Amino acid sequence: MNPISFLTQMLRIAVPYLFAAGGGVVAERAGIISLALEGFMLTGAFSATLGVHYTGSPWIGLLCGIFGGLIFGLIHAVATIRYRADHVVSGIAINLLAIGVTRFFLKLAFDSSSNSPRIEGFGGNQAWYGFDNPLLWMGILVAPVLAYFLYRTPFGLRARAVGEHPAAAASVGVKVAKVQYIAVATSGMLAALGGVFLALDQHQFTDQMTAGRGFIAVAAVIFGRWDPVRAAIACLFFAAAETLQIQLQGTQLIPSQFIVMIPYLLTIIALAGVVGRAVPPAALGKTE
Amino acid sequence: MEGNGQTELIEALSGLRPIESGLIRMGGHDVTRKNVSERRDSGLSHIPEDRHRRGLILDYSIADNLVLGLQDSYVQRGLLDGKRITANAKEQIEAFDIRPPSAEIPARNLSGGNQQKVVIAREMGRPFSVLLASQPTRGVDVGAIEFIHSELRKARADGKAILLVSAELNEVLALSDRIAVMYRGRMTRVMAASEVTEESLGEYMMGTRKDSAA
Amino acid sequence: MREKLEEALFPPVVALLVALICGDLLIMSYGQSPATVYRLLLEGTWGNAYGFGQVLYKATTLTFTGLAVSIGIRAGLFNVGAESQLAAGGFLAGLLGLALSPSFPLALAIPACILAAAVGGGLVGAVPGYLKVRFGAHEVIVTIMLNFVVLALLNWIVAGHLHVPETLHTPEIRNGGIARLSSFIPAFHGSAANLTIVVALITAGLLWLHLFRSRRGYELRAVGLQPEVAEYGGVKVGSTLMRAMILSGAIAGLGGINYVLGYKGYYEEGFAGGAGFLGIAVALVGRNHPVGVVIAALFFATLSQGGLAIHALVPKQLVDVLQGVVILAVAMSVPEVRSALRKARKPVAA
Repeated sequence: MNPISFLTQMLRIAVPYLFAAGGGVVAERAGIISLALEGFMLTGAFSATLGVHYTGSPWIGLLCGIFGGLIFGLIHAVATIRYRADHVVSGIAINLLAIGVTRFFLKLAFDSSSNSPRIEGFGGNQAWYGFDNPLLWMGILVAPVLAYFLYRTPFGLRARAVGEHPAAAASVGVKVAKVQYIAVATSGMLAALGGVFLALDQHQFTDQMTAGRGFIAVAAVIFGRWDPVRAAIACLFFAAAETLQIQLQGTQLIPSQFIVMIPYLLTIIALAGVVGRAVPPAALGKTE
Repeated sequence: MEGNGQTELIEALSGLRPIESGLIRMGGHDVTRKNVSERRDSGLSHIPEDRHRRGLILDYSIADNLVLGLQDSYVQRGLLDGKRITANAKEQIEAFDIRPPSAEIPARNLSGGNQQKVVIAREMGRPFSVLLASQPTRGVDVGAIEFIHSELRKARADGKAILLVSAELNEVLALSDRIAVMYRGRMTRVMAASEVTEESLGEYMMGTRKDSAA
Repeated sequence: MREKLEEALFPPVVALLVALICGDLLIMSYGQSPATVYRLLLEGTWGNAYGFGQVLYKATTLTFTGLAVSIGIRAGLFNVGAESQLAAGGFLAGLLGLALSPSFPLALAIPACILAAAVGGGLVGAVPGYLKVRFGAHEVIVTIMLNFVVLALLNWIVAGHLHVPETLHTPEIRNGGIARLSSFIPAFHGSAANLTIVVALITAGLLWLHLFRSRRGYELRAVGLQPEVAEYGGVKVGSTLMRAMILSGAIAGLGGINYVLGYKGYYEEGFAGGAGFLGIAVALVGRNHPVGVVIAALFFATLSQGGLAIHALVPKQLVDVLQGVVILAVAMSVPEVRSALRKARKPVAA
């Protein structure tokens, strides 16, 4: 096993997690539970596929992906903020909706129940080990940029305040709803970028191609205790485990099913407080 | 005055708050290790300070609220006996003049005073030997206050022990045989009502005067 | 009483209307007439015996998962793990059915396998229950994560040791099979509907009794509504929550018998097919009431089967979209309706 190939594969696997977990951190720090990351990702993947298919340009695809994530992010935002729907239910509904909508339009646009035609992606030059893909760079930059915004800008401060004590924030003039809308819309767009990377990397859209990655991102957010950089490290860790499993495929050292379990088991353990307590933002989930 | 440990004391006595040290005895029996329902079964009733937070399930009907903490005794062949629960409700509604006199409406729909009457009907309408009454007339209209005071006096005449916690000085002075002042978590003075003057009471409450803890 | 009925019924009605409008739009975008499509949907589901049988079959599983989620919600717990509880239940039932010899009396084998299913689901449900009571771990995330863990575990067991070569399922059970409806009512020939329906309805009835007529049910609902008041009243909140989670898991586990004992006769990878998650929708639309759950289960089953029926005119994916729309619409209308109705009623003066 070659360390360079391990690292490059690990990064490739990590990028969707990095994007989605970043989105998760943003929304949840502002108090909105983000179980819809899976749906946002899927929407981003599909929108990007449509964009690239009809224009031939991956950059247009990227913009379309962001747009798709924005729309679904806004749906989640309106449901939870304006209509005070239960965050968990809304998240699950959006995931189901995303599956349905992408399937519906997959049939409509490409007359297929399983996948789209092949599309162009970014990069592809083996000599660059994946670094000729701008999305890879963007994925790596999500965590530090988010950390900066969250901890060093006024908007970040307001967002965090809203997630901890919305009433107190409102009393000093913070427009709680507006902050939450922006946070959730951002989470939609970020998670969608994860899907964009997936679709362009695999050069097509397949039905339910996100395959639970959005939930691994949720696990990373919790395991990283709602901090952008820690969540990113969790993403890398999970991606490393996955890469290890793929590279060890033939050797049967540890059954693949157990490697798959790792992120989920770790999250459960984190929640049980065995590795210190995982304390969410105080007002997370409460928009009633 | 509130904030000096009265809430915590009541919680400890009722079993809602764990005790670090000390002993609680009721009727000669040590109840320190007993949980909430065991203490209730031993004859302890509790009118909680905040009826919305502790005292009533707002979405339950008056009838259902009246059996909270007593549901064990309404079990018949594995299920709750609806007829007896309704009959009990009718009795209590009449005895305590709860309005509107309908057993099935949710507690949420009642006025503050009537909600408190439901709590009191439940806590005082059952057999008890000790009553913890925390701010029993808070948020209650004048007519209901009178009613509650007369119920408390009746219970006292019946030989029941009542621990009344109140921020209303007049209420304390009017109802009590003995008065205890709490300051910063300790009982700074316990005295017979006849000994009390307004000034001395005020001084104990402000903490400018203290005796040994009771 | 009337107020509770209003609060309960308005949201699903609203959701239905919203779904109808969305359906109309999507159908028209395919150049079809909504009326034609809806008529075809009804004909293909309630209009013929086979279709109706399929609806009943699907509704049965959804009834179990819907009941499971709803009892959790009544206790204030959100069980998102019905999918893996369902799978675990089906697996244990299939295992026992495999282990029992064919000469064992069927009248004992079936209840034994049903019990096994409940135990399977209950065990999985106990985990989030314990973690919540002991550590305060939020059951939503725990159940979601546990879904993946349990399904991976089951996959490892079956793929490694228990599967029939070239397939993803265990060998056929030797005992404990539940009869198909088609063996009594020939019209149902070909459909998967089986006597598990009876078990589902009995479970719904028992759950109703438990929730609304038993002491434990009174305590469970109290804990779900206002746990601090329940505690004040002497209810042991922790054990109530634990019991609720185990019960929820067990009921979801029961759902597994529909496929494993009643339909295919073996446990198969992925047989749950999303029924666990759809159970959340069923519970929501059914307003967490056993009767509502049964009706909602029939609704979603009709939608699902209907998708296949309208396949010629509109892609069945339409149904997937409508499912999501319905759930979202109900979720959004519940708080709206509640506050609108509260404003309309005023508290009665003393």
